[in-house]
Parts: sequence; structure tokens; C-alpha cells
Amino acid sequence: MRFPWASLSLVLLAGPVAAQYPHTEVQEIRVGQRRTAITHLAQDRHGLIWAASDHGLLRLDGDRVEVMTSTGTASITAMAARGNGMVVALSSGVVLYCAGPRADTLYSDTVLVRCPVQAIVVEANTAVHLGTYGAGIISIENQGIRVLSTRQGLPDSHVNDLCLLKSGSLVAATDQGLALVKNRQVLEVYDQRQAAPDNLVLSVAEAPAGGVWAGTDNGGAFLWTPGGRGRTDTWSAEACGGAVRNIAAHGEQLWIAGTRPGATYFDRSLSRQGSSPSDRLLPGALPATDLFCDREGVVWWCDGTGNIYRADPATYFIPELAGKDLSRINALHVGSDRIWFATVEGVYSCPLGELAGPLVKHGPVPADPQTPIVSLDVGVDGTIWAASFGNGLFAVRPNGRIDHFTREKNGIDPNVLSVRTRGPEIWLATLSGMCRLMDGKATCYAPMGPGFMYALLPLPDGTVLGATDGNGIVRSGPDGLKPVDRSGPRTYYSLARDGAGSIWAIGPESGLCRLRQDTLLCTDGTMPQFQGDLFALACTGRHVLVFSDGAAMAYDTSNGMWSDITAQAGLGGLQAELNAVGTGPDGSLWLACNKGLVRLQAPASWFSPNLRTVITDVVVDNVHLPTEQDWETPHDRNAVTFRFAAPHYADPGAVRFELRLSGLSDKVLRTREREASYPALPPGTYTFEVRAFVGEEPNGAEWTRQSFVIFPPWWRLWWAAPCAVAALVLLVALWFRARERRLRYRQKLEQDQVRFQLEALRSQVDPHFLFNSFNTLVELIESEPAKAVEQVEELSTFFRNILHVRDRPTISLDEELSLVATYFRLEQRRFGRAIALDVSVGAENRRMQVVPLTLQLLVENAIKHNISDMDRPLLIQVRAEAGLLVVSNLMRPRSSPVRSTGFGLDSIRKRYAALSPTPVIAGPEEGLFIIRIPLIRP
Amino acid sequence: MKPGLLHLFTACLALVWCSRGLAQDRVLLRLVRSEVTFVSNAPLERITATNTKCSGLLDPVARTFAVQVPIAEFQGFNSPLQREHFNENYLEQGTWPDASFAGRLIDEMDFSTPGTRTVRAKGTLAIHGLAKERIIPCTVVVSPEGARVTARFEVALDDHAIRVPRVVHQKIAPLIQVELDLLFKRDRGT
Repeated sequence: MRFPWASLSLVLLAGPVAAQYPHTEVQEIRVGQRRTAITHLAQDRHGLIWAASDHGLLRLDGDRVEVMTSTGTASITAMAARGNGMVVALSSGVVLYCAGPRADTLYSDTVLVRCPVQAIVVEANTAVHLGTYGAGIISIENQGIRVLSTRQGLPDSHVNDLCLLKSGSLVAATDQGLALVKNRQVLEVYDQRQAAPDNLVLSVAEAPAGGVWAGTDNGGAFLWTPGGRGRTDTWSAEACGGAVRNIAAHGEQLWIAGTRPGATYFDRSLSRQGSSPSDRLLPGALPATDLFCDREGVVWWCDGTGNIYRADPATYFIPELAGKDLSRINALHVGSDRIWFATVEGVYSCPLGELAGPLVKHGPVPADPQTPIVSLDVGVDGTIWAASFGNGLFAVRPNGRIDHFTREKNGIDPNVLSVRTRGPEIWLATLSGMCRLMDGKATCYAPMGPGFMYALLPLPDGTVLGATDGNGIVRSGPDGLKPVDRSGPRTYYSLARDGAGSIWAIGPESGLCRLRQDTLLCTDGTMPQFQGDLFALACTGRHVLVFSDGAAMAYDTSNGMWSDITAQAGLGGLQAELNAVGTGPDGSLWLACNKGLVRLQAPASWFSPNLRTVITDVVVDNVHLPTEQDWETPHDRNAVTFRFAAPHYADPGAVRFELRLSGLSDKVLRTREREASYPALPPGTYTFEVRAFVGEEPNGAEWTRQSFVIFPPWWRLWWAAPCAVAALVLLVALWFRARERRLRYRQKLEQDQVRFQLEALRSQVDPHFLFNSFNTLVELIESEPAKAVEQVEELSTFFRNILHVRDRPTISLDEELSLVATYFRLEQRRFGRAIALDVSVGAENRRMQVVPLTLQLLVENAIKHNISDMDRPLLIQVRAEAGLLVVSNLMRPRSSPVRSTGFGLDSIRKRYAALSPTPVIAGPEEGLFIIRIPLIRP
Repeated sequence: MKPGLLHLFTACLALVWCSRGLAQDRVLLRLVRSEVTFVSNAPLERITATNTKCSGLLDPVARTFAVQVPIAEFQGFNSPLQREHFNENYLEQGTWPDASFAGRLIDEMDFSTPGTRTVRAKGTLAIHGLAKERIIPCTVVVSPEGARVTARFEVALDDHAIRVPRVVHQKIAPLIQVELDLLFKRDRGT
């Protein structure tokens, strides 16, 4: 949001005839596109302007409008600066402290609805005093809330205004006079009984030397000095234009606002007591509702509309004086206590200290628009020398006699451009050269060639310099004119001598030149380009000021820097007469231009504005952070925006910024934007640095810094890498251990298998079994050779089958059963019907898998461990039920137990444990020995 | 409750409370006869209207006062339609039925000795729901049975957000002259 400052001076030209006025600018404040109504203004410690509006509390830096806090339906009744922020009183009875986007409630009381806060002052120790209309003074201190009212001696509990004096005392303006309060004690009361012009005091402001300016309802304004010294200075109600609702003071300047439009300015050094004040007539302006003086003496006010006004008394326009229009002055001369000027109507003078005062017209000097007076000087004897272009030279003697010097009488060219006196000598610059006038006799010197002379400068060494058109700068001598420097441009308009004795000259092509030992040193290379004509050169302090059409530039003689002061001085659009500039005894410059007589009291801030940059806002991922302290943020909240401002209200558009984010890069960026965004900053430690400047180079402007840290993510911290390595090592170790255990287990399983196979083999070649088999065989060979052959075949089938199955991890139950059947038949040959095998396994279970030789082993065990005979045959039952193979036989243990390794059953258990979750259960149950073996799915 | 009314109410309450708290035999002056006249002197038309139905109280010791003016009771105008416009469109009396002025007399004055004095009344003037702080000089004629207060002041339409259509700009003045003539009489007890 950029709002150009419209120069009010331009507005004034279109408006009614204005009296004297300081340079005033008006700015319209809008929030977005909406109009505002601003009722109060204040300035914070950094110089930012805060405004109370119907949109809430606004902060202005001359360029941007920020809504700091919205006040809803409540209006702001008073505000005052405290620290970085503002203490704001609302009509809803709440007192807020607002320093950023957040507002804290300092105090809240429903009494303040009925008795609104009219004024707030903040002490250095941050104690806040509220002047209420009806409830006295409420002080918010560290010790608590205290009320000062009529009981403590306050003349009235209706307080209209408060001000804090440097002595620490508080002055309250009440409906019944003034009161001086210190440490909750009313020390002094000043009202009509003590000769106050009016009891109803509406406003107070601190005056120099411990005094207080007080503005009353119908008694005007007066200066009250506490301590019994009473009233010392009064401006009547007529002078103030009615009730004085607001008052502000800075040095000798006094500003009041009341019933007249705008604000009224009194310069006590310019217009003495009793002179009529200058009042501002602004088209459509309303009386100011609030005004204050900033540290530079610039006055701000608002009038309840969206406009805020800024008036700088350093430039003071005098468009008219005692009814005379001063916008057409052709020549002026400033003496030690008077100023002389010539208009088309004649030559006038008036005292410097009293610009509203008596205007003296000097003699009937015939000045008509065809032959205007273009130069004035006053001799030591008081003679006023007026040079006319076309009508010769006039001398107005102190006794009123007028002498006219012409070509006919004195032999001078009647087209005089400049007149300068030095002692009894009068020097003239004319169209045809330079003339010296002494006791009425003229001696003229012509320059080398054709061309005329614009300006003269008498030097202390007795010579006179002349600025010519076409012949450069010439110096007078006993034998005529001599060019000073033959090289360089040949046309110069103006000459000036500064306080240090240096001589300066300026011309349209030369730039600003310094004359040193008859050599011109020109700054044309660094000289800014002027639009339009140059018209005047003046020296003030260490600066040389160059005025051209609508612009004013200052050259700093100490460092050779140029600065544009047009906006600060309010000289935009100015048109002036050639060399119509003078320096007053106090160093102020007087300039005649189309806006009248202008007094410039150029403060140092015009030439090198001491800009202090303020970081007004820090936003990290849409969260506002405090602006005055360092901060930290995690790595994923790293979108950082800085907003900053450098208050330079005289010319906000000229402010540029230099910024750097050290930690990211050392590159310095230059921008006019008042915002810097860093959307994704990597983790690290940063310092944001910004400084503001006006002109080309920052020239040692102060940096404003803020440091911050973006934390790295945890995995980038120093301990993260070792931890990760340790975890990896641990994982690998665990994996290796698990692998090793698995391998060892498998190895053991294999060993078991081998052992089992060995056992099976061993049992298969159990010599007992073979012995029995062979015995049977022997018997058979003799008796039944055919059966013996069968027996041998079965034996061989059995052993072949064993060989066939023993390497497989599992075999189908069907295979196992056929193996068992072969084995059983072999055993049956020996035992006959003493043993019986009952297999009842359904076809669906026969496909299930079992560990090879399991059943054989069990059947073998059953036969081995139990008694069997014909009468009570040993019945071995094999059946499949619920996924289990159940082998059962009656327990009839042998009387002499067979020596057993116990390995058979154990090995079955182990092997099944590796293959199936269901354990092998074996044991006697109700006289039966039952073994349950899980069937393994194929 | 509208802000204007609220002000008046609190002012009255404060007045009554003050009078009770400080002295039991405090004499309040009650408004018995009133004449509030406004004049709009516009280039094309002059409008006047008078209200005699105001109510109010004045505390001679505390020098506080409150006056209430019912908007609908203004009589006069140049036509009944004008009066209706005044009531319904400009002052919107349906929303804000009363105007009020409550505050106190700033300057010292003695209500016990008869005579004529000029004092300033400082208070809140609420019209059209918008309260403005005003200082109004008024003439008080004190007599043994009461006081007569006359005052003359101006009310800017802008101050109270009274919107007048552009068509009638020439017929209604932006500054309205108001004249008050109020007769307060002693009224023992409240």
C-alpha cells in the first residue's frame, strides 16, 4: 500500500488566500481500499506513527499501513507510546497494551465506560497514568492500581488532559483548573483564583524550562510555570480561534487545535507575543482532533477523517505580508535584522523577527513589469541600492531621497542584473560588463568578448568576481577584467561564498564549481542532473545549496556528497527568480519564489537523514514472533519473513534498504521493498541485518540486526550418526546370532537324523531280529522250502524298503504301513498268533506323511517290551484320528526287562518337534500304552 | 439499550444517587416548561420546529443536569410530510427516540441568590444515537423558585451522522441552530 504524499502547498494555491504557514503535507490513510476515520495519533520510540481509527489501531511507516489490533465496536479514546508499542484506552472500559499483532489487557473497569479515558501518560518506569473524565487519575503501577481524585486534592475528577514533565511531575488539566501532581500528592493547583484565564482547561503540553502550556475553553492558551511563578505568556482566545482542545509545543513553536480548521502555528521567535497567529486554511479541513510534536519539531495532526497532516516549520512559507502578495518578488536582500525585497509594486522592508509586523515601503522607486527591480543591496550608510533591468540603478537614501543612475547621466548600461556594495563602492553587473560606482562616478569594464554578467561577488581582497554569460568567471583588477580560468564551461549564473571563505559558482553546463587560487574545480561528474533552469546558490553551514526549477540539491563540502532535499524542504514545483536568495543572521535561508517568501531553517536531518531501521514484524510459518529478541525455530518451520521500516516521513519514497542474511550468504541486497522473505531456510545460525539509506550510498548507516537459529532435525544432530551405527551393528549382531542358532539347530537335527538312521539301521540289523529270522528260516528250509524262499524274499523286501525310505525326511503313511506290514509278517512267522496288528486307517489319512520307520520302531518296541503268547495275543492297534496316528497296545511288560537305550522314542519326539507343532505323546493310559504321533500334511 | 439512552440513564442514576448519598434534603430542580427550537437556514428553505415535551433534572449543588428531548414531539415544520421525513428518515426516531444532553455546569455558580449568570455546560450531546462531547455556554436566570436556562448552539449534521439526500442539500442546512429555553423548578425529594 503506497500512498504518495500530496504536497499541500499545491492544494493551497487552489484554495483561499493563505496566511503564513509551515510546509504541510497531507496523506490519506486507507486500510485496503476502505476509507478510515482517524481520531488520535501518537509516535512510538522508533518513530513509527500509530493512529487510532474506526478500523482499530493502525501503524504507519509512511509507506505501509498495518492494522495492529481491531477494536470492534469500541472506539479508541486515548493512546500513548510505551516501549515498542502503545497503551490504548477503549470506550468499552478496557486499556490495552499493543506492541505487535497481540494486545494485552492492562486494565479493565466498567467505570471507564461512563468516565472515558481522556489522556494517557507513560512514565519511564512504565507506570501508566490514565486521566479519566469523571473518575480522576488512575495510575497503573507495579504496586497496583491507585486512584487520585478530589479527595486527594485534585480540583476536579474530570480530567481533560495530562502531561508528564521532565521533573517527573504530572500536570492534569481538569474542568476546574490545572493541578501539579507528584508521588500522588497534589502539590499545586492553578485556576481562576490564581489568575488563570479560564478554569476549564482542555489541554496541556510541556513547555521548555519546566513550564506548561495550557489550552482553555474560552481563555485561550497560556504558559504556566509551577512553583508559584504563575502565568507568564498568554495567547488570547481570539488569537487561538476559540477553544484550545489540543496543544503541542516544541522549542519556541506552539501548535494549537480547537475550533478552526487544521491546527494553528505560533512561532514565538518569528512573531512576537500578541501578533496574530498564522492559521491554516485548508479546503474542507476540519479542526484537528489530536496533534503532537515529534522529536524533530515536526507536527502531526488528524482531523477525524482519513487524512493525517504533517507540518514541518523548518520550511516556512510567507505568501503575503500585510496585504502584499509576496509571490512575485524579483529581488531580496537579508540584513542583520531586516529583510528588503522588491516586487513590481516597489521596494519594501520589514523586521526579520516580526514577519507579521509593519511593512515599510521605500520611496517611490519606479518599478513596472517591463523594467523590474532584479537586484537589491543595502550599503553601510543605509542606502538601498535597487538595480532595474532596463531602467538603470536607483539609490534610496536614508533621508528618503532617490537617486537615479542612467546611461545619460552616469554612463552605465541601464540593463543592470546585479548590484553589490562594498564599503563606499557600488559594483554593478550589466548587459555589457561590470561597473564600479564611486561617489556618483562610474567606471565600466567590458569583458573580453560579447556577453553579459549575471552575478557579482565582492571579495575581501578588494577584487570583485563576476559570473558572465560566455566569458566564464572574471575578476576585476586595476587594469580591467581578467578571466579567472580560461578552461571549462563559459557560462555561470550564480556566485556564493561560504562561511569558510570558499567561493562557489554554478552554471548550466559546469555543475557546481569551487574557485581555488584562480582555478575552478567543478563537480560536473558527480553533479545531479537538474530539470529546468538553475536559479540560485546559497551556503548554509557546511552545505552549498543549489536551487533549480522545482528542485533543491545540497552539496556537502566536507565529503563531496550530493543530497536531494526537495521533498524534505517541500520545494517541489517551485519557481524562483534568479539569485533571489539571502542568508539571515541565524543561518536561515530566505528564498523568493512563486509561493512567496520562503524561510528555510535546514536541519541536519535534511542533508543526511539519520535513518534507524526497525524490524516491525517477524513471521515464521504464519506465526508472529517478538521483534526485539533472538529466536529459535525447528527445521520444519523455516519460512521466515521479516518486515522492517525506517521512518522518513519527509520523503518515504526515497528510502532504500540494504539487507543481508549472514549465515546464508554474505551478499548484500538492495531493495525498496520493506519486506524480506526466505521461504525455506536450511538449518543453521543466522543473523538478519538491514539498514536504510537515502541517496546513492548507505554512508555508514547503522545496521539493525536480529539473530536466529533454525534447529537441524534430530537425525542431523551429532549423536544421531553414532546411534544409527550402533543400532545397525546391534541388528547385524542379532541377525548373525539368530542365524548361528538356526544353523546349529539344523546341524543338530541332521545329527539326530543321522543317529536315528543309524539306530534304525542298527535295529534293522538287530542281531536278535536276524538270529530269530534265521532260526525260523532254518526250520523252514527243512520243512517247507517254499516258505523259506518266501521268508527270504520278505526279508529282502523289508531291507530293500528300509534302504528305500530311510533317506527321505518323510514318507506317506501308506508306505510306512506297507513297510510295517512286511515287518510284522516276518515277526509273525516267529510269534504266530501271539501277536496281532490291527490297522484301521482311512484312505484319506494314508496320504498323510510320517517320519520313516516311526511305526516300525513302535511296533518293534511293542513286541520287544511286552509278553505275548497264544492265549493272550499282543494286539497292536494302529488307527488314525483327528490328525493323529495312534498306536496302542496292552501293557504287559516282560518280567525281565529288555535292556533299552531309550533312544527310539526320544528320537521320534525330537524329529517330530522339528516337523510339526503337535507334540508326540507317549505313555500308559488305563492299562494301555498309547503313543500319539501327529500326521504331517503332505 | 441505545448508547445515548444509556448515557442519559446513567447520568440520571448518578444524579439521583449523588443527591441521596450526600444530603437527604437535597433539592432537585425539575424541568417544568421547555421550549427547544431548531432552525435550519438553508439557501432554498427555512425550517423551524419546536418541542415543548422535554424532561430533565438539575442538581443545583452538584451542578449536574440531564435533559431528554423526545424527537417525535417536535412541532412546526413547513409540511406534515417534512415532519415525517424528519422523524423517520433523518433522525430515525423509531431507533433513537430521544435526544439528550447530560453533564454539568463547569463554572462556579450559586443557585441560592437570584440573578442572571452565564455559565458553560459541558456534557455529552446525544442525537441520532451518536454522542458528542460539547461545551455550551448558557444563561441561567436564578429565581427563588427555580432557574431558567437559555442557550443557543449549533449542531452539525455530520457530527451525528445524520444523512441528508443530495436532492434536499439546498433545503437543509448542514449546521442547525438550536435554541433552548428551559424552566427548572424546585422539586422536593425524588
